[in-house]
Amino acid sequence: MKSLDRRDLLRLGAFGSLGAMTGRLAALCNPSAAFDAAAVPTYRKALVVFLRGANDGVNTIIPSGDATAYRAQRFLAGTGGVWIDPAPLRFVPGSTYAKINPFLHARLLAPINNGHVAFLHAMGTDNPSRSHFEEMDKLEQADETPGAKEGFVARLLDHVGSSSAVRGVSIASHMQRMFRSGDAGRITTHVRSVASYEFGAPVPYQRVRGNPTNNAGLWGCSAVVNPADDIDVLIRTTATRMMEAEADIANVRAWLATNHQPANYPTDASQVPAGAPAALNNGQSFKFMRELEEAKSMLLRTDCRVAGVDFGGFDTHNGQLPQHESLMQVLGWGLNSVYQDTVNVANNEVLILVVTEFGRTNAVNNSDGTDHGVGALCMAIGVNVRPGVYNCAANPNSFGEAWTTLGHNMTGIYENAVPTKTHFQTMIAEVCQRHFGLTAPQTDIVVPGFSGHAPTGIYRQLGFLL
Amino acid sequence: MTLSTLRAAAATLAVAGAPICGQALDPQAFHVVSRTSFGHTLPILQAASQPGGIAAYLQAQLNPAAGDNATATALVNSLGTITTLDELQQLQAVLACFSDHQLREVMTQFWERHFNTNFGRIRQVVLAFGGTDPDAVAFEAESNALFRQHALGTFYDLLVASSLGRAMNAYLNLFANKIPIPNEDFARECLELHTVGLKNLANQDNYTHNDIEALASCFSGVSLWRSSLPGNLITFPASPTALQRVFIADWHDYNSKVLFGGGGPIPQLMIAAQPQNSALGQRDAYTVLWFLANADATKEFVCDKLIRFFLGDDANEPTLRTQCMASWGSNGGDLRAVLTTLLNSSQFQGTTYRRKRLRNPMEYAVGVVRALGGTVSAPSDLDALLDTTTNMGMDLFGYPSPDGFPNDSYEQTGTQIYMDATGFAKAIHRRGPPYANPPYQGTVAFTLPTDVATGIGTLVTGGSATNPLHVAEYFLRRMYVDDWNSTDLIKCARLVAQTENGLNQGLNVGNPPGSNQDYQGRIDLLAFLVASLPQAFKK
Repeated sequence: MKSLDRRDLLRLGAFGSLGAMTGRLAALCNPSAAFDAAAVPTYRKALVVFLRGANDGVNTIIPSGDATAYRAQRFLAGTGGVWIDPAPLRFVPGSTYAKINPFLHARLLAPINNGHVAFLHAMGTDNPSRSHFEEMDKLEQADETPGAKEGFVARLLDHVGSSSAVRGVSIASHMQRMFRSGDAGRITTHVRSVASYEFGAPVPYQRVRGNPTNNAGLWGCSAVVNPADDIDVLIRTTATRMMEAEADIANVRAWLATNHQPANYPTDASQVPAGAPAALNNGQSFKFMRELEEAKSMLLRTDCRVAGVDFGGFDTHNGQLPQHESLMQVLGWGLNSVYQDTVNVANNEVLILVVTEFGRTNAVNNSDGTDHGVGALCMAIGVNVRPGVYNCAANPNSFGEAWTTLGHNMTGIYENAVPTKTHFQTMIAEVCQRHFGLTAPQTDIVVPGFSGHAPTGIYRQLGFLL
Repeated sequence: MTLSTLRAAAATLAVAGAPICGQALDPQAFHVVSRTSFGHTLPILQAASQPGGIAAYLQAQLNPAAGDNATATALVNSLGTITTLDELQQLQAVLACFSDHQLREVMTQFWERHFNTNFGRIRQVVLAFGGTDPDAVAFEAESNALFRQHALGTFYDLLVASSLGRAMNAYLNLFANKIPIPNEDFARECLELHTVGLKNLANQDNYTHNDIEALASCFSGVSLWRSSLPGNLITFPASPTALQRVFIADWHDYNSKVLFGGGGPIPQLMIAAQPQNSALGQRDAYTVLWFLANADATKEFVCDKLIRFFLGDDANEPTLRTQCMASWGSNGGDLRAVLTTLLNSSQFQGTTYRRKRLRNPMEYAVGVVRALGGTVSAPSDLDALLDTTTNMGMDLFGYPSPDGFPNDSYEQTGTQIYMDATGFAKAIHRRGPPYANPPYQGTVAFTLPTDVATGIGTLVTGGSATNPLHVAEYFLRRMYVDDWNSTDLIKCARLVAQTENGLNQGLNVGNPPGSNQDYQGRIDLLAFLVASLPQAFKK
């Protein structure tokens, strides 16, 4: 019960004094802290927001105190940025710790002040390639075995239980890799949108004589499966999932038809509130807002345990400044809306996990953009988050080894980039164990072989979850 | 005919995988045609099933004659000059559905995915430069035309069409690539996706970050003309007009360059320094593209991708790969020779990989149209098909990231994809109530009822158009040759033989439309069901 007491304490806003007592955030990050998996509530859920294209982490949380961090001067000169103090992420004018991008800060102030946000800097892999596709795969699969294709969420859902036909849902134009599985027992749900997931032709589902067996039989879902033929099993089981998911999704669709929140999730120009950032009045923003609201609704109104959405446009090789400003505004608006809708809902504890495949170069190229870097900035938002900026030392005069280098003195793959300080797999393992209460053997299934790593270096858990 | 009667009758007739009666369609011909086209038509499959038919089919596909059939030609001509994205997409659908040159179309779309560009991003750049929507469409259209022209030609021509084309220039920020810190966007994807790949098959890194920087330098200055350009402008065309490709001499890095000098598996390429501010700087791009087109790493990467595309995701065929790489040659990559080797190989022609790949959305939707003999009167009639493939995630010219829509079967499944497929299958179910909701706009017309009457005599010898089992068998064999079994047959026959209340339903061609006894309506419904079966996703 110790951990629960502590969390309750934090919820009441007492984390500031706790942080002061312990001194540095790094000291809070004790991966071996007592953790009782059995005490984890069974109603915990997660929303994974993937920022496709590689968000510029050092233009999101800016190591402004680093004398070599000219990136901050380049991109935020004239717009400031907001100083943040590490414990617990308070915003302190005059501090020299780090700055948060003002366009993100403007909307995330409430969750930050509530002590519900953790920024995880320098996340990545141990053999980074700076390739979008390889690093996305490594992150979404949490498995670097050659030929591996299965997503970690598909495996995670095996162990978290659900009373819903939709245990997990990817709401995106293309099914996110993290939800994919070729294992018939792990097939999850993909919808382009809740609104469009409807049988266009009801014949095979509704017209076949009200007999469930016959319904299944039409798509061969309960018959004609040759176990030796993987393709057949994959197709037929996916078809089964397609039909099973329809009722839950239809219910959410009906609910959203009368409960859509246009100001929080504007999905067309007429819904953008007066005074809101102009960046919201954009097709990409509308899509992101719709997907966020649908994902949030699936999590709160069904027993769906994990939802995933994408937000693209972060591959800012050219003319980054205005693009990134807009992206931060839209991202902040959306995250805050989901946070507000989920933070106080009984029996639903939603962790918002924001990930991206890598960071971007520290130096700006000659088209005013940034190229592919290494260390990524991830974020965790929720009531069981231990707030802070991780992998970014608290000493206001030094940003630790990650910052003092910033790639200036490095060669090879880390040149001109933030290096990897913590492996993506370590972050996922911590979510498995501390948010969902998985045991070490279960975590080893979600993140294959994780327990075989010594808990040091890039495999040392950050302790960003309580 | 009751269910038990059907089952008993089917049990006496059907053995899984074997034709019940009638003319045998050759499963091998089915395999070869399925993999090298957007799906079989009945006449093509019947011809390929004749002795020597497969070889003749492949010979024709690998060496497409000039021109096309009258249907495809008329539909393409009706599009005129393409000025909208809709028209450009319709062109792809028309040729996929109706062109005789199926392998060329399959390869055109393969290269479109390999050298993927995104129209939305291109449009954004074009408009920012003062261009128009038709300008942006022209960027995509010219690349598409070149991919089609060189689909069975040389890889070097494809690589130049992509790398020096306006579409890629706008999509991956080449237009903004200038010294002293070039933009690496294009260079990275050129190496990783278009040519050598991230790692070789021995899992060695093919290149380092330094190589990306060097390649970006080779392409520095290759941009798009617009009125605000500064400095010394050396143009590719003699007189630049809006949004032509140009070489901006001031932006180019004229120093010597070294690629692959890090001791990796690819031999080093030295590019000599050029005189400052001279047109000779353009040569760097051509030099490096020629080198890449002939590099063993490129041969390996592309040949392996082709083998996996035609055989299967997990096809690991080192001998065949070596043979294909030999066919590639050293003169830019002879793709016709590579495909000839691949498609005539025992690995491709054998049974190991048959019916083990999944169709992508375009292949699924077009495959249904072709197998059921669909026709259209105008290219816009295929809008419903294009809407479906877009909904299924395959938005032609709209895929967002440079890796292009995936070829991997693993990526072709999903609840949303199958949901959309049921919607598309509805397009062939033409009737209104009581069988379906109002049909799609812009439907493909099918002539199935007539075909059933005459076709059963061809495919189900001794069959009857009023026997539900024979009608069902006709559809299954027409669509899937031997890839169905007695359970499929019963499912289909029941749909024809019974009302929704389970009452017996006779097949009577003369029954009135709209009633439960509507023969034509039930045939349409059966076509829908057959197009919704899991087999429809396999190739």
